[in-house]
Amino acid sequence: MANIIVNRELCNGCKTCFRACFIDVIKWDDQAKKPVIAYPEECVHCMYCEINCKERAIKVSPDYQSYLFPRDSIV
Amino acid sequence: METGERLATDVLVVGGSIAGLAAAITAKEADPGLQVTVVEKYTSGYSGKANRGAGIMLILGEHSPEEFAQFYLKHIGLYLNNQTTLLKYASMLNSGAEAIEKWSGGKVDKDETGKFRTLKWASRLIGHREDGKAIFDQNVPYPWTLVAIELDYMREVRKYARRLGVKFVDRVGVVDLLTTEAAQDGPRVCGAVGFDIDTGKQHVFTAAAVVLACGNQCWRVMPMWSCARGEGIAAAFRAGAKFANCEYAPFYNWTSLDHFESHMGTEYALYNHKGENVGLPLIKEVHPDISAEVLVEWYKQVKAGNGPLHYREHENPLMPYLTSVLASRAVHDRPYADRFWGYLFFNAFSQATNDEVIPGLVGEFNPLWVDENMATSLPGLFAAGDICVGGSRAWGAVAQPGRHRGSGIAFATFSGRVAGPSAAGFAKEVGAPTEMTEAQVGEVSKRFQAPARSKGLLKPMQMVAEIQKVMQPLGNSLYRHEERMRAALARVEELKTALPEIGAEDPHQLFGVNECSAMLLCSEMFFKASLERKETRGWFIREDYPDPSPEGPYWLVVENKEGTVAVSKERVPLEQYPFQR
Repeated sequence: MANIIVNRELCNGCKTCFRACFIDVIKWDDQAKKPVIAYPEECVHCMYCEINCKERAIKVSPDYQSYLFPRDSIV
Repeated sequence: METGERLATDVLVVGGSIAGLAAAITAKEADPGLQVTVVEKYTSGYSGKANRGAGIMLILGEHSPEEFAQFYLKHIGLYLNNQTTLLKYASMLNSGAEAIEKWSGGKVDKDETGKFRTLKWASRLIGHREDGKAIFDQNVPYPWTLVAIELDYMREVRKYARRLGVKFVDRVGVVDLLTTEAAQDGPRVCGAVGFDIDTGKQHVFTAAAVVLACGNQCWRVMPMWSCARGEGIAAAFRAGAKFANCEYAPFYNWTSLDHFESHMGTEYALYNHKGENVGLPLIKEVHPDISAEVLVEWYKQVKAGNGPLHYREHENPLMPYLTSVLASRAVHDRPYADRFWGYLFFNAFSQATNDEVIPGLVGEFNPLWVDENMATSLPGLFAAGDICVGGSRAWGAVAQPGRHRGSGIAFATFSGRVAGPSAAGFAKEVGAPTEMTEAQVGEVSKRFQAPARSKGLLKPMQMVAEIQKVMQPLGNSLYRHEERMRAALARVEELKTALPEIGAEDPHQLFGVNECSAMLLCSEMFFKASLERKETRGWFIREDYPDPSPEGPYWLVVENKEGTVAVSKERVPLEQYPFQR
């Protein structure tokens, strides 16, 4: 699955990555004020969280091999 | 059961991407006294597809709407169009870009003199200016041109809507519509029920008019289209709305199993394993964009034992164009879009191991029927954006994006700008409805929350994988045959009976089940309509009926007849339209 890494030192808790996610991969921990990468296996590597993070505190490393796709049902 | 949040509004817009924002802004501007609320499953301003594509928007430039429509009817839509809506779309394209420019505070790319910088689709690179900007020969036959929008524009559009007084409810996914029995004219849509995607809390909205702008169905196959899961289509079906063009849905992009990024222009450089270019011979003189015939050729070549197929990128004449427009400052100045596409291309193409290409199902199932005012068949219900592209019948015999790139944002903006004032007018006329029943709200909650009580061990993602195996094969969804479609439909029916076996442990998974249910309903509508079109016409291709039917153009209409998917024919009233074949 995609590896989504949050640098908790750099993260300022602005919630942008949480808002940026268009398919609910990233949840929010209200107490810690940090993102929770809840469903990394559903990430489609749009990179919107990473591009929008002003602190550059989040990084998405795609893993295309595990991406859900019916590899044996194409024809 | 806990009673959730209640919100009464005049106009409820479901979906906060560009179509929904355009509808909300124009509804509010049409009548500032009305309360307009946008409910969005994720976060409006960030959500949807319209900020994750090329950021390219189609306009007419110097061309006339009639010129555009005539070209489109002849070469793309093949007269299976609602010409009234097509002409309205064409006539609102230029002003659509101006609207985006205004709402976003200047996010459309402009030249030194402040004019929109345009570039025609598929122009040829002929040189560079002193400052490094590419120069293209724009002498191509298509009567339209393209502007480029910086990809962070939607956040600014949301701010514009807020300043007008539009209210926003984020992270609430609408799962069903509420209807009321009006005295004479049958059921009327009077609101919607949604749930918080984080807490699961119920939200009930009552409204005089509802605009569905929550996207189409792409079955989660291709990555960047993953958010389109058809929940709005399913909600409209349950409420009793009418649909059209269900069978014209299966858009495919050329892609790679190495990274799933799309390759535009593959048809120019598609080789079989014997080293023969099998794409080029099928490209006709006027070739606006990706061709269904070449996709079918891929199937035939693989079946004939000539696979896998290869894409020789260096032979693709569109490459200088594509690389200049996306992830590059060679034409436009869009730092944010450059970064977005730069990341995507780097991640994808750095992991490519070979040149094998396959067709990846994008889907774009978009059949919610609307008239030229974006009113659905249900009083009080309007639609905008991807959910009703096919249902509007504006584009004719073609899958979205309609063989004209840049049409996604263009149609969303157009239909939003039409739906907003239509919904505002309706709301003002009828006033707030009062007949919404608690029993109806209870039924919706019961249906949506059932998986939380299920002891089933199946997980939503396992079901998604099974649905994709039915929808992705090109022989099922594009190059169709009665036998294959009957088998696909039987599998869809089988999967429907397995829905109660999916368990959900949290709101995310509850939505996962609702999405699976919507995916299966859309698959059923798709195959049932496809079986009834016994001909080949434009993007609709059948192996067992390779020619157009002599009876002339007709639309297939899908309706909910006591819970079942019923298909009927509707003749295209060509004689009432300005352009004849």
